[in-house]
Amino acid sequence: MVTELNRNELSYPPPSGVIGAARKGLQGVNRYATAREIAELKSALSGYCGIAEEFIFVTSGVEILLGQLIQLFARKGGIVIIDPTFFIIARVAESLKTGLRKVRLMRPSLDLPMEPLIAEARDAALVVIDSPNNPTGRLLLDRESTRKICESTKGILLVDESYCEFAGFSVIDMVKNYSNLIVTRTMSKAFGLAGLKVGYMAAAEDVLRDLSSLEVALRPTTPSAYATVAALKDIEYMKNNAALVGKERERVSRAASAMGVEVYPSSTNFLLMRTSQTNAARKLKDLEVIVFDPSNQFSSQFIRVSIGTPDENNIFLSALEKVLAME
Amino acid sequence: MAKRIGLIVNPIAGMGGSVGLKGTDGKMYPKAVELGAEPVTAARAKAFLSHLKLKDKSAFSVAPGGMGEDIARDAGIKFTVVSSLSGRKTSADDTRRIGREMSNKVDLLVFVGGDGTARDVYDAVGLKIPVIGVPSGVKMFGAVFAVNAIAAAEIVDAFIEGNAAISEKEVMDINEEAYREGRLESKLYGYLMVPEVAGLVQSGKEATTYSESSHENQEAIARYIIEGMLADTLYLLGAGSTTTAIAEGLKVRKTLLGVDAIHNNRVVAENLNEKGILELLKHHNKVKIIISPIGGNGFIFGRGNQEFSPAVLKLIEKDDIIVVATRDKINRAASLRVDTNDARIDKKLKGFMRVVTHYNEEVVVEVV
Ligand SMILES: Cc1ncc(COP(=O)(O)O)c(C=O)c1O
Repeated sequence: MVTELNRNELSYPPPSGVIGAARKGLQGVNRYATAREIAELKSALSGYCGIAEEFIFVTSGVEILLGQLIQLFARKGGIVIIDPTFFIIARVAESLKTGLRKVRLMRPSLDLPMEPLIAEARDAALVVIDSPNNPTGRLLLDRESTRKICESTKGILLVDESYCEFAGFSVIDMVKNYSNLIVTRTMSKAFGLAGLKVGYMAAAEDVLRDLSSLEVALRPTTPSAYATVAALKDIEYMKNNAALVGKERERVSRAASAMGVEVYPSSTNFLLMRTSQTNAARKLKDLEVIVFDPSNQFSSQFIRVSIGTPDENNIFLSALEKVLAME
Repeated sequence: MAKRIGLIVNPIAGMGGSVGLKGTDGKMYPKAVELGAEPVTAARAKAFLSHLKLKDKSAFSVAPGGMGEDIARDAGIKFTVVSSLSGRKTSADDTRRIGREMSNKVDLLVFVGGDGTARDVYDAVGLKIPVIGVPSGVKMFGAVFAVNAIAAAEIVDAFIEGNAAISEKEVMDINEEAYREGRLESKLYGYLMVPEVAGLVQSGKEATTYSESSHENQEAIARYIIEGMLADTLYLLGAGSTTTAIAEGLKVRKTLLGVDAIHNNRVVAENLNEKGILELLKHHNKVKIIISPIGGNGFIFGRGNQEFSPAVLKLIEKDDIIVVATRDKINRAASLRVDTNDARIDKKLKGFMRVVTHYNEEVVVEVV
């Protein structure tokens, strides 16, 4: 049996209430999701995030929204991203004709170098930072650095917080004070609804107005909307899962470290590791454990492994041990 | 069809290391033997062959005697022998001669040796066929080597299966005399086509590799650089294939392995050494250097590009140094590096630098 730990999903299924709600949403799928259903979804998200509905925009997954935002702002000026960053962010930005500046995380600390970032951000139309960062797992921004970037750029700061529930930290409330801040989040990670593709963003009304023409096209499906509302009523379930993932992550981290693997600290549901083996991801694949291969950004000794159930993690650890024992 | 794999072993490479000689180039070989050095390449070659999984899917052509044949026989693989040896002792001439012969007969050439062997192989095959080095020398600063014999086997397996990506990698020329005295002086000697295991194509949404070839990437860099070029400014183009792409874009000649000077889109000096550069600098006050990291580990000054000596760099502002590198190349180097033997110059260059990686695309990288 193949163990897939390459997409940073949650390994636990949603509670029955969420499945039931999705089923209810299915009953009306001859219709598009109505404005009222979307309003209910926004209201639930507003309650969860602690910000007013006027600040919220919902979308069928964050990925597509990130692409749209980058394309939208690229018409106004240059884009700044970090390196490495979530693959989709990099590829969309690279495909554009506008100026692209990447600011590389320092090695080996993987810290975000603020000074060059601020310098590049100054005249940019859009600065995109995924924090916690994929693939490093590192929380890159605190409130202070977020404030600094917002105040020094004449453009927009987009913080992708897809993994914020694992980090237990967010700057989403700062959209109330900074009209050039966008925060994106997803139901795909800690809430475990990846297959439903629901994401959302929070931003000041001016920014949202720019997106209004896309609002209908990006709406989530009806079953997704219903399921999300139900999931947001059961925050405890999500929190328990996030805590479980955190506990497992530390266990996997300790076990891999004990094998001599260099494990980077993570605020997410995945771990970046540097092994002693070249082509480590491929060797794990030969043992039917699929991890993400970040070899276009690091050497082929690196792997990014998602945290699964304790059983899945044990399968990964024993495969890792076998790979490390190869000559 | 079975892939044809060539194997050339330099039996004396790496022997200097154990007796502290830092290489067996030139006249050092008899000295190494006198000091009791043991051959090491045979063991590396054997390790490489024994880790190869797809031996049966390939046809081996090996160099004669101690340059391959003996080891291949020990390893129990099927092979044909290419050429014969001129005398009892093998030499660089043998490597070059056999390499040339193999370049018409194999799909991939594997050599076991060090930087010196890599240069001999380059002399023989150039960019005609892909080449991978199994590291066994004392100095291996070039990027044409696998990390070790096992990694080399993985790469060759991937090549046989058609899962290897091929790119040009630098062959370095290290001044062995200087190295023995504890200094590292190196320059770019040439390029070989080197296969590497391509990033895993992932199931699902996260595919990771670039679809563009490194040459297309270099052309995009060149277009961007050329558009930004200023009139009445002297551009000193360093060695390498990326800077050469810039010259091609300007439709002027470029010395692949040396520094050329361009002024108002015309070449004003070719293959400059330090002295020549200093002379030119006397007559120009607007000067920019365009260079690419050399050696596979991010070095911009100090390993390769040695024409840009501390005396030259003293006269150039950091902002007037333009670094260019393909996305792939910069992704592979964790940082940019300088080691000019002049602490003040190193200090001036350290901090952060932008690297042009595509058309209007730059990455800010730390210089260490
Ligand atoms: C940083 C980051 N943002 C966004 C996403 C995708 O989120 P969604 O499923 O909402 O499109 C991922 C998923 O891998 C991610 O790693």
